[in-house]
Order: sequence, then structure tokens, then C-alpha cells
Amino acid sequence: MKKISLYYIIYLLCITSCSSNEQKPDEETKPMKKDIMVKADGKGDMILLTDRPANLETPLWYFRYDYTPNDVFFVRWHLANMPSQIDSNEYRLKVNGHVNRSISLSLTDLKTKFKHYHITALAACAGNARSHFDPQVPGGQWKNGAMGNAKWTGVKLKDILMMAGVKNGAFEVAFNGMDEPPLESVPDFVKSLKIDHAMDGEVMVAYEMNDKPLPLLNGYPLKLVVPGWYATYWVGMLNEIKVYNDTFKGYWMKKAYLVPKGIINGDEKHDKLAKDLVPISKMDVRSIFVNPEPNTILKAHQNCELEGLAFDGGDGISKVEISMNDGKTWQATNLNPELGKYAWRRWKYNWKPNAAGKYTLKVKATNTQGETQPPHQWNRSGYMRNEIETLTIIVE
Amino acid sequence: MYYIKRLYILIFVLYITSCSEEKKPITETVKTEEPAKELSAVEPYLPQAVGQKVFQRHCLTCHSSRYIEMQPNFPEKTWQKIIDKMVKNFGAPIPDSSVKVIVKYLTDIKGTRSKE
Repeated sequence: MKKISLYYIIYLLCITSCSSNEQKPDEETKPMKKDIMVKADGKGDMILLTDRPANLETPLWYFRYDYTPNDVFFVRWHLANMPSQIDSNEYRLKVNGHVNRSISLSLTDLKTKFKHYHITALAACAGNARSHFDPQVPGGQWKNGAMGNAKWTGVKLKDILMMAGVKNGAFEVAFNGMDEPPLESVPDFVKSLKIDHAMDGEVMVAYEMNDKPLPLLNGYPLKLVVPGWYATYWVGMLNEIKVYNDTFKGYWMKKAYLVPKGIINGDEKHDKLAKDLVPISKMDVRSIFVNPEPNTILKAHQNCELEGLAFDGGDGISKVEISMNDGKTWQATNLNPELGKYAWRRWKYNWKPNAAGKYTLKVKATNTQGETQPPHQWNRSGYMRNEIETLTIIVE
Repeated sequence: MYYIKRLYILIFVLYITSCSEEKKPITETVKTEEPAKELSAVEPYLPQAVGQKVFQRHCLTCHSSRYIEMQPNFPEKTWQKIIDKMVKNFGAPIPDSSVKVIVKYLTDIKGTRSKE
């Protein structure tokens, strides 16, 4: 009996094995910049985008985990003046503005006076994969690692706002963190949501990710979690919530993080830019390859389990298809069970290349609303990347 | 017993040569020869060219020069737009004469015709 199960293990290992991890540069594509790996306080080895303020990318390999480990979860800050440590006893979250009474909550208050709430959700930077845009656009040159999936624990924003008592006529709610501009003229990083969204019972203030306190660089001790919306709204080191009875007019809502109006994936033409722009919001549908990594060399006639991720703004992924011939024909992949409607969905596909050669693989996802990915997508700011992803594989 | 042991060795060999095992040692994922630097020890490098001092004086208050180092090459008009944004939107106190010098410097080191 024992022997049989051992053979079964060997069999499983064989069918999931891709012969080689070897990589070689692809001469026909543009040279890839070599990653610079850095280690920040409280974090593991990550890909450096910038050092001041800190912007760090998760190495692709970690996306083979359902939950992205906290110590390699991507880091994104706009303003360089931020505390290098925080006294958790002194920390207060203020709630003020158009409310019946302003309140100031300690971390203990949040943990003891409110009902706990959990949600599994993907945090994805608006500019994730900006470096893939063609033509290239200025901004953080992220590859696919400006995102991560985590279980968030904390308090519903609705419950916090109800404690303060939202007055009639409330229109928007603004969120500010402890990070500050190095110059007075630089607008503080403040984001806002419409009152109905803020009160929807899903937007939350998290004090834990993956059952542990947030790393400082991920916004310790509190982070706004806006499931299904881009991470620009997920304000870290959150210390002020302000209710407005009219439109919030801050720079980071009115001038930055804007996308073409009414276009589901923010697409525009570089020779004919959109005139009407609106604040970015819900994530579009997208899928990526995680394994094998680009330019991996595989052996012909051997099984390789391809895997990747698909996600959207919470409607749910209904299918992920893969093409081995540059998009001529498509096959359905196997989807892993859902981790939550706002989480990413893992896909797998067992592939046995029959002949040596260079293969152009493509992957595309479709969600329950029938929204899918286009062969080309672009905008001036490099947001909402969801062009069908291509992976070049060499089979020997 | 000996047979079982051999099987375990076989499993082990297959396991370490597999590319889709669930938990590969982390060291394999880092595809750089050098070990990771401490973030605080990162020293971004920008090539010397006319205007470097002016760039350093006006731009590094808010961010390190890694913000430039990370960018792809862009034409002069793109660099001009970026500096205009820094002045108009973020209030960077840069006199017009220095804006020109900085745009020229960035186009020299990160222009579309530069070999950088």
C-alpha cells in the first residue's frame, strides 16, 4: 500500500514538472532591465523601484502563493516625509468634518469597541505593469509586482462613521495618512470616496493583514481597504477621516489618478487623447502568467503546469483562456476555487509542447459581466493595464 | 526497506528538479548576482553631464534621483512636461532658467537618442 502511494507521489511530481528553470535573454525583444534587489526595514528582499520615497515591487515568484506574504507585499508611497516608527499607544484615528461629534480612536478602541471584520482582497496599484505600456509612459516602472492578495482584518468603515454620526447632506469622505510632503507646496496625499461607497459595509479600516500587524512600509498601523478598487484609495498610516457635505477638491482626486471617462479599462489613443477624465475607480479584468517566468526553456514532450492569476473589480472571473499560438486558438484553463470575490483567482493549465521552437503564449480572462481583455490597451498615465498578456517560451 | 529509501531519494531528486513545486527555496527566485542591499544604503547613480548640479539642487528635495534612473528614455518634450508638472502642480521652486538646464540634462542622459 505504502509502495503504491509512493509511486503516486512520483507520478504527481512528474506530471507537474517542467524540465528546466534555465533562462536566456530573448534577442528579439527589448533587453530587460536587471532587477536591483533591496531589503527595507521590516521587509524581505524586494525589487527596487525607488528608495526615497520607498517604492518596492514583489518578485513574481511569490504570486504562486494564494496570499502574498507581508514581508514582500508591494510598497508604494508618494511623499517622502513619513515616520520611521510609530508609537501604537499614542496613535489616534480622528474622524471629523460633517459629523455629529468628532471622535478620536486609539488602536485599542478599534480592536475592542467595534465588531471585527475580515475580507480577502487584492490590492493592485493603478500603475501596476506600467513598464509594459507601448509607447512607454513616465511614472513608476512597475512590472506585474505592484499587487498582492491578503486577508484583511479590522473594522467596517461604516461602523466608525456611525459612531461619529454622519450628518444629513454628507457627500464625500476623505482619507489622510501620516505621510507628508517635503515641501509645503506639494499637496498632501488625501483620497476620497462617495458617502454611499464609504457606508457600503465592505470598505474597512484594517489593522491586520494575513493575521499580523501591517509592516510599517505597508501603512502600519491602519490601512483603508477598498475592495475591488485600485490601491491608490487604500490609504496607509490612516490617521484622519473627514466627512464633506460637498465634493472633496484635493489634488490627488482632481488632478492625479484620472482616467478617460466611460471607458471600462481606461483606454485612449496616444495620438488622440481623451478630453473627459474622471478619478480612477474599479479594477478592470486582467490575467497574468506567473509560472514559468519569461524566457524559460522547456523540454519538448514533457508536461509543464502553467499557472497564473486572474482578477477583476469583484464581479468574479468566469473563465481564463490560454493560447499557445499567438492568439489563433484558445483553450480553457482550470480555475482554482475562489478565495473571495475581491481576491485573485488562480488558474492552471497542463501543457505538453510537441515540438521544439519558440512559442508565444497568451492568456485572457473574462468575468461574469462578459468583460474581457483587449489585444491592445494604452493610456497616458499607464493605469489599469489589462492588455492580453504574452509570454515567450523556448522549447528544446 | 532499502527499496523504499531509494524511492524517497528518487522523489527528492524529482522534487528539486521540478519547476512547479509549491514552495521553492527563496534564494532561487533572486536572479541577481549581488545580495540585496539595505534600502537606506541605496545610492542612485545618474551620469555626469552639463546641468547635473542644477538638477541635484532643485529636484532632490522631494525624491531621490532613482526617480530618473528608473525611467525609460523619453523625448525632450516629455521631460519638459514632467518638469512643468513639478513646477505647476507640486510647486517646485525652480526658476525658468534652471528648468531649461534641467530639461536639457535629462534629455542628455535619458533622451530617446541617448544610449543610456
